[in-house]
Amino acid sequence: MTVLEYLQPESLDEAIALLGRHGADLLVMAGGTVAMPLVNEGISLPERVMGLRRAGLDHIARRDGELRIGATATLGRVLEAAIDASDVPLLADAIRSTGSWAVRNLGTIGGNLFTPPPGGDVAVALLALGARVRLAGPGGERDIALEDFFTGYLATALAPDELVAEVIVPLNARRAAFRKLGRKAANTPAVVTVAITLRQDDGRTHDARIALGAVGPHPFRATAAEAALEGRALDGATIEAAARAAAEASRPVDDPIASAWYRRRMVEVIVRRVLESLA
Amino acid sequence: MRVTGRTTIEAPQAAVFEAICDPAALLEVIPGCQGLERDGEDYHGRIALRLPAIVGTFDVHVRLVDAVTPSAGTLRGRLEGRIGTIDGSATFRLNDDDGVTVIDYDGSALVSGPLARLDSRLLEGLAESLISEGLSRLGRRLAAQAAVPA
Repeated sequence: MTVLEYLQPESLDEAIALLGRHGADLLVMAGGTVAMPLVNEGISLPERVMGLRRAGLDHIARRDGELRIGATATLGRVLEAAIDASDVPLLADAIRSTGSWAVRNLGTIGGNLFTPPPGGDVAVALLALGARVRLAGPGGERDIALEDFFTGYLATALAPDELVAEVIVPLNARRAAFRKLGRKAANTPAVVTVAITLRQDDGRTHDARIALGAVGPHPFRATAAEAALEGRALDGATIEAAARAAAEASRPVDDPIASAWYRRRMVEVIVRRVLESLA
Repeated sequence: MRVTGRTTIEAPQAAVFEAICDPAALLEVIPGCQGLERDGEDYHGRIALRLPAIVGTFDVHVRLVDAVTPSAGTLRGRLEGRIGTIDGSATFRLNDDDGVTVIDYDGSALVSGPLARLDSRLLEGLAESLISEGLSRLGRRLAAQAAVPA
């Protein structure tokens, strides 16, 4: 390990200035649960590491019908807040399924957005919840819908001089359910992760958001599956059609956790089960 | 590691081939490229990789072989850095499709050093991500050039 300098900015502005100064040589780290093993193994060799833990980005606040979560709030603290808020059970379920207690006590909500599949389960729930991400750079701040944040495998809409400052989760009374299928019950990478929120009016489904993880280069919404639910009752045939559309939209790959074939089959099964739980 | 793909660039075949042979163009389109020089068929340069959690630099030695202007070629060489070494080659084919260019590429590489400890799926994903970013930058550069005739 040959890191020359560990930088600990004490504000977001200072962090952005340091990022501007050191650019390409700088590893930006929040909880370090992904980055530190890579640095220790010599797979990542930055000259400088910027730790964001003192940058004042760990707030969790409820304001104007939204839950505003600072990028470096640990998953453990967000879990407590989500349990207290009680109207975002989806977020609590997603965090419980992520890593172990030790990982959740260090790992952050902002860092989880950069964890490549089959990790990054929290982002799947955030997508279904309609979350936005606040990005901060030298030119100021901008909000971006989470589905526009992900652009490819390990690729995001974040500019090289920007940082993720905040994750904003709308609090509303939508029905929601989450399910992660892994090789074991806990502390496991996903075969597939499914998060769904929807609104029901007179027995009909509206504005469904079906988010999938571990079956594409990044978490994504299965929009064809969402369309299959619009204006319909959640009956067996509708659920089957949406589950099939979700499987068709997924682009899984073979890895040591599961084959692409098995993953696609499981998308259909898990989407169906999650929708049945909401019916 | 094997990476194959196809992409379409909104520019004529000759312009795309010319960009692939032009170190100044490559410097602009290769993600993290900090310097690139051409010496005959050989390219030498430096790439600073900066991804979430992975940061490292590579010295690049690549040679353009079997070039068939303006439709095909093979890039063969080595990226060498303290986080690992990547030896490989990639063949590309440019097909004219009514004024736009369809690029097919097929590359394979042997990764050694610390980087080789990463899951092969992660390495391939990484390579695909960098290639698609590079090709989309190439498309943008050529589109901008077409918009402002020299």
